[in-house]
Amino acid sequence: MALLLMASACGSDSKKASTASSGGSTSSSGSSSSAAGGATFTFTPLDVGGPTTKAALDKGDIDVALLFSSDGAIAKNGWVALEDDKKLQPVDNFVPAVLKAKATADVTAVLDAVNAKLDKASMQKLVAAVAIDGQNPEDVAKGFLTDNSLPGSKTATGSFTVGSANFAESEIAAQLYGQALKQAGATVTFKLDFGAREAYIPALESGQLDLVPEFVGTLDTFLGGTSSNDLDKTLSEAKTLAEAKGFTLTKPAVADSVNTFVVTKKTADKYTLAKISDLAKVSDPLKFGGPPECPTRPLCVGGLKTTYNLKFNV
Amino acid sequence: MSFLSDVVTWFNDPAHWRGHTGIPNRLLEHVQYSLAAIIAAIVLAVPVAVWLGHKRRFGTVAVNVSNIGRAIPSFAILVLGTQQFGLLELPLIGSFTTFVALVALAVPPLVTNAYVAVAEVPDEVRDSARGMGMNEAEVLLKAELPMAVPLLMAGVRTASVQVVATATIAAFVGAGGLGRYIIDGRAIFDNTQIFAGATLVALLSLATEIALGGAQRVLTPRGMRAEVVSARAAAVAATTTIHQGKALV
Repeated sequence: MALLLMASACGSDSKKASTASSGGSTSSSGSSSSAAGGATFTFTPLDVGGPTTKAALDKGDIDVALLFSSDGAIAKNGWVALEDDKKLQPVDNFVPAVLKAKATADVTAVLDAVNAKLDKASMQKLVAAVAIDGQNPEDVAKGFLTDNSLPGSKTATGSFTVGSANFAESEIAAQLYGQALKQAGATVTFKLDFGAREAYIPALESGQLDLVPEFVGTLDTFLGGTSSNDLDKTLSEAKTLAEAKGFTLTKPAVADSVNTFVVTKKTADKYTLAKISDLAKVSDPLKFGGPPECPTRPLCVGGLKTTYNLKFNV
Repeated sequence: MSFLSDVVTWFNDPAHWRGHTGIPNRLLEHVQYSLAAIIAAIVLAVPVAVWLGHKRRFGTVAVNVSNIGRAIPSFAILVLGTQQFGLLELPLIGSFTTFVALVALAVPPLVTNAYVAVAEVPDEVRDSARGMGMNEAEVLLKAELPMAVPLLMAGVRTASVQVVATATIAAFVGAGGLGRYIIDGRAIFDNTQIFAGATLVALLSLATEIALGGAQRVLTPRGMRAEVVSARAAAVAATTTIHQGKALV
């Protein structure tokens, strides 16, 4: 049974798994002074940003959940994503990967215009509409472009085959970029649900695809780079590596998909929490919930201990 | 070869034998979830099934209704239950949704076997008991039930082994038990830990089977012990009979 589940998890979580495993490269800058609040938090092993973790947060069985920052449930439930003020997580902003020959100035301008409007909250809402309300990524993306009057008066030419990975965030981003180009005048066909990075990056290199939505940090790691919490550095490294393979990256969005510690509005108000370092002041033994591997991972509880000096029972 | 030696090393690591995540505690949790579910299922299913068996009525209905528990995957109960109740933990029984899933799993074999065990007691035995002046309660308690023990206990054994093997799913909803080694091992791609956990679950299932086999022998009236061996075969035969709609009503 475990093997079956592993196989099924690989599909939708391939990006996420690689995000988690890229943690080794993040340096922790924790000092040895102990937190002022001094409470020892507990950890409950649940699932990878999945339904159990969300149900547990919703019911109050846990106080802090580890979710992905693009998770629609955050916007849907009015939860508070704590700001990673000490930059524990490596960056993983949405960014279009475009075949170098097709990334003309016009095309880049259209994609930049979309990304300029794509912040964390709007991505969460788009994902909520698809993953929770069951709407079509195509319609959801169309609504977003209309609401933000994109691509405006910009024009673009060329023909594009737009691919995506097989999870909601990627499909939505593919629709956003593809539809914006189409409305700007380009010829666009979609080849969505392309599977994992191992499938769509070679397709991009071979010219079978012209545009795929990517994530800066994960792509950088995939291409052999060392992603970090510095967006500019990671982007330029990923861009250099990508261009050696025949594709390039345009300007990333503010929206990202990284590990995020989330609390309910009630918990945030009770302890005045806005950023992760605020947890140090909390004197109650808050309960954390997340994937079972969390305690040993530097991007999860492991990092909270070293970078934020929080104390845990694991 | 090296994989097996990794597993042996895992078992020899003292760190895996102490504390909250150690084998003794996980084993205790696993036994707790299993025992709570099986006791609840017995209390829920056996008296009703035995009474219906005594009356020799509604057997098909009882078996089919309880089989719903077998038709719904435990995993589905777990997932839906978690959405409804979160990680609700109760004293004695532990994780509530795990408890519900395990009870649903245990009830069908208990109902089928308990009903058939009593219903299939030969007419001559009942008639003799009545002829000796026993009232209905005495017929049930002194004649039918003792004769029903082998088949009834076979149901308890089947249900218990299934519950022990399935209690691993508690780990899916943040509870403990031996399933933690499998779930946590999967999360960090530690096949040694997964294998060790699976081995522990298999051993516990085996121990359950053997222990309940012993209990069955002790509880069976001396005159009937030769039949113990064939109890399982009888259960299968009897179940088939029920599905064919014979020997009923």
